[in-house]
Amino acid sequence: MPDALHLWILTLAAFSLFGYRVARYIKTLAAARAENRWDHPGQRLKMVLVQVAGGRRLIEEPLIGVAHLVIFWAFVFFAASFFWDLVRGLFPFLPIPFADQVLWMRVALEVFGVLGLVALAVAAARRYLFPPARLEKSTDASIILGLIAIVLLSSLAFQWRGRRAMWWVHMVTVLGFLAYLPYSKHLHLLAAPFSVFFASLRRGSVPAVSPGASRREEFTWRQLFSGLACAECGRCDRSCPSFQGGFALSPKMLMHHLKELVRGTEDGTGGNFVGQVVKREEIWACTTCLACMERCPVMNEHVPVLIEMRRRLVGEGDMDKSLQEALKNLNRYGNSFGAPPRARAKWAQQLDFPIKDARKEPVQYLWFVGDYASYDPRVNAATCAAARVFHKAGLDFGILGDSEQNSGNDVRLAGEEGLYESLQEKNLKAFGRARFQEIITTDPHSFQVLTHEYPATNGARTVRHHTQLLSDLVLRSELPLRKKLRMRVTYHDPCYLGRYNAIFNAPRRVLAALGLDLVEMPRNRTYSYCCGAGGGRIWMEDPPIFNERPAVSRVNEAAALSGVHTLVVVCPKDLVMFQDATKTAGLENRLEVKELSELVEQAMG
Amino acid sequence: MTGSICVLAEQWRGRISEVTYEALALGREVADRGGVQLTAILTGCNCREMTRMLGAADSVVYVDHALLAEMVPQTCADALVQVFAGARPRVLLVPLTNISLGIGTLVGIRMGVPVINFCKDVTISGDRLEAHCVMYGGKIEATVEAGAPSGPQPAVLGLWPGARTADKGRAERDVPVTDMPVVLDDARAIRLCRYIEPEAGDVDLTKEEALVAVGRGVQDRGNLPLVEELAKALGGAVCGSRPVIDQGWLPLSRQIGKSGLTVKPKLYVALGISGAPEHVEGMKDAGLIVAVNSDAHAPIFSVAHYGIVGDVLETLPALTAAIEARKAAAPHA
Repeated sequence: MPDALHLWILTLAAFSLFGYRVARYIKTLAAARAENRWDHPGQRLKMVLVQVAGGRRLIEEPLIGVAHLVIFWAFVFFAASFFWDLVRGLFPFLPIPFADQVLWMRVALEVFGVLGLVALAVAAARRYLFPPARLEKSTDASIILGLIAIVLLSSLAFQWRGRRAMWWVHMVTVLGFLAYLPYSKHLHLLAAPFSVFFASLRRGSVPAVSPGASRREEFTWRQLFSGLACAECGRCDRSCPSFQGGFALSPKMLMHHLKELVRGTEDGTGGNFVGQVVKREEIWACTTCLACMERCPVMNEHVPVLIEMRRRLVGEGDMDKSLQEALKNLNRYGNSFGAPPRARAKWAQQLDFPIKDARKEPVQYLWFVGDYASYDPRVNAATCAAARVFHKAGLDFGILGDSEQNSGNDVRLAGEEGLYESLQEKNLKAFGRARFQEIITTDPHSFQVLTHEYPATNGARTVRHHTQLLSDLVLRSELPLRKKLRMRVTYHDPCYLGRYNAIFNAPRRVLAALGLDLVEMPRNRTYSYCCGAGGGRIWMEDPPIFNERPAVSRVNEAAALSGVHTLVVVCPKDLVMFQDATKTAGLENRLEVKELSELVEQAMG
Repeated sequence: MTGSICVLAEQWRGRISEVTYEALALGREVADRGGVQLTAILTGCNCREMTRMLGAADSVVYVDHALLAEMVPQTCADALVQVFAGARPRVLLVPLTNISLGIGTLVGIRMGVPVINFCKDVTISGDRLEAHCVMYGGKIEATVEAGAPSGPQPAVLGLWPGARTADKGRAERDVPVTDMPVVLDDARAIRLCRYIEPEAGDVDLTKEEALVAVGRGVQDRGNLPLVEELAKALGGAVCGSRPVIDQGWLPLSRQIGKSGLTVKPKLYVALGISGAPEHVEGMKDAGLIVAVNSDAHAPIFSVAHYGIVGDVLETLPALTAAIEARKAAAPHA
């Protein structure tokens, strides 16, 4: 049977090429650092169903997303039919029909064949006629589009005209596709289900303690796998505040470099990966806002990769002078301002009632105030407003005074793991000396690290952001509000509250209770646009060349809303960044930046 | 020269550098204490008259060669090794500047003698030489001993600038001069091609005694001439906080604060500046800080010595007029 023989030869050749390449990738990944991603398999399977089978993140960009989903499902049916036919062709004695001889399969193939071709036309039109930003017209993409078109057309032609030659064109093309796949960015169609299955279950978790990474084997296997799963769709770049602001970082190129690192085309194992391939400016430009990871359809992990590389740079002392200064201050004084620890609670002297010292008397709520709220004179008014709101609401709360240290969230994201551990240790010691039921904080950055990264002592410890607390008080009607404020405001979701912790409704509930008319900015909730301060960026200088600071872009977005003169924030760093940006953008008289507590206090009358 | 204290004179474009006088001052002390001669060594080309400036020394060795017109480390070290051929000076003091830093080290290696850099002080007692050096940019002081049981050994000492005051080593007189011929190859690894003078364009804010700083409170770029009038009346310059620079009202060279310059003028007038910590960091050490701001709670008032709560545009002309009037009343003040 010459047909079967030819098919055997072709199949073996294609699978050998495919197998050889994939085996090399697996070998490289196996040599990388270990990372356990097998926990909660049920939850992981569900993610695969939602993201891969359902294309949840793909269809956030509706037109191309739906087109892609159709191509994906066409691919599923055609792959099934292909393997069916392949088995039937290789073993002609099997008593089964060919795939197209089964009615339901034939119908599915025809329907998805036609839909797939339409979707391909949409994809091709987008790629060649209306390319979005950050989509490169590579030969690779053209080859793949062409191959898929041939696969679909040959199959339809075979079914409609019954020409044997078409069956061969179809089978040979698919085998060629298989052999080519591991060399192409379209490897993602095999890698994506795995990258989603092995995605981090805790958004924005910091990678396990390491001395940092530059060489291939110093990254974890899942970090390297991001490179293989990346389809270079550019959604990360389109959402990245650093990239959009014209800073050096492109999350997409970062993934591309990782892919090259896995393939071994960029300096073998990556001795010069950090610094030469991925530039210092790129590594330091990240605000750790998580927008890229939130949008990535294959759930890649850009931020942890950058943190690993920052750790490496920190180890080499290779960083911005002002960052170095901030870290030095944090080490010596426990705050980035280089201010004496005894001045930490000085803001409270502006109040006409004393705040309890949680080290001296038991309190229900321990208020973790944080650096900016304590030391920055621009934030003091908001901090005092929060204190008065808590006071008027009758809460039993206290602070740690000079025992509180910077929570270490941004220190850690800047790659200074050792300093983070020392700050954490000091704070835990202070918590141990105080008596309290629950921690509240006005700082989303501290909220993130206290909730997820600090070990819980004294059994389970609750940490709540003040917006959650205020929202609960509203729900229980325990917030003594006297008047409705009746004005239009907009609200900025801080990265560490929103994307990191999915707290979107609590602050909005409070705004509604104050009688405020909330007008959303175009970029809200998970789409919120970072102010540019996170991950230690607030301590670093801006590079000499960039287009627009993220904070300026954000205040312009807020100021463009009709009838809105107030931008409500719930993060001390946002207050500083946006106040500064209104000045830079010349919007001081147009837009006021307010902390939520200030408005609550107003409504309390 | 044997047994004497030698100082390498650093000349640059026709002038003896200040740090040379500091080295002479220290050398004089050491020589007097040990009762030995102090010899200055001047390398150059057609600059014999400069030996007059080295009057603090007992004598001067003058080395003239076309290749020594500029102080290039390799060439200069070559010349010094020839100067010392056969002689065993006790100490060679080399000023540590960007120019001379390489010379001392090269001479030390070529002669096979110890090199001790960043010295503030030297004591010699018998065969023992103790140098007191600073390390880590002045954070640590170390005492380094150089000497050999077999007898006094010359040592090359790099002098930490500021170890002595230059005036103590400054003396102009006719000194006995010995000419020392040298043979030099033109195999320079470093060639000086041209001098790039620092741009004299903008004012150096760090040297101004009075600065008038503007923030966004000035409201409009068109109001800047008012500010310049005040600066002129005070005999100072105009600078600004970051938002003003970002808006392009003033060039980057005028930015005060964390991402700009740190200044310590005698007088700093902050107009419409709220006083963000990043700005305050760059000006908090000014002698006298006067702030004008419409917001009485602006943090700038916590660092200001005098404050005016009011509109900048109203205050500004009044302030300028008052100062002009005061100047007119007391023209010599």
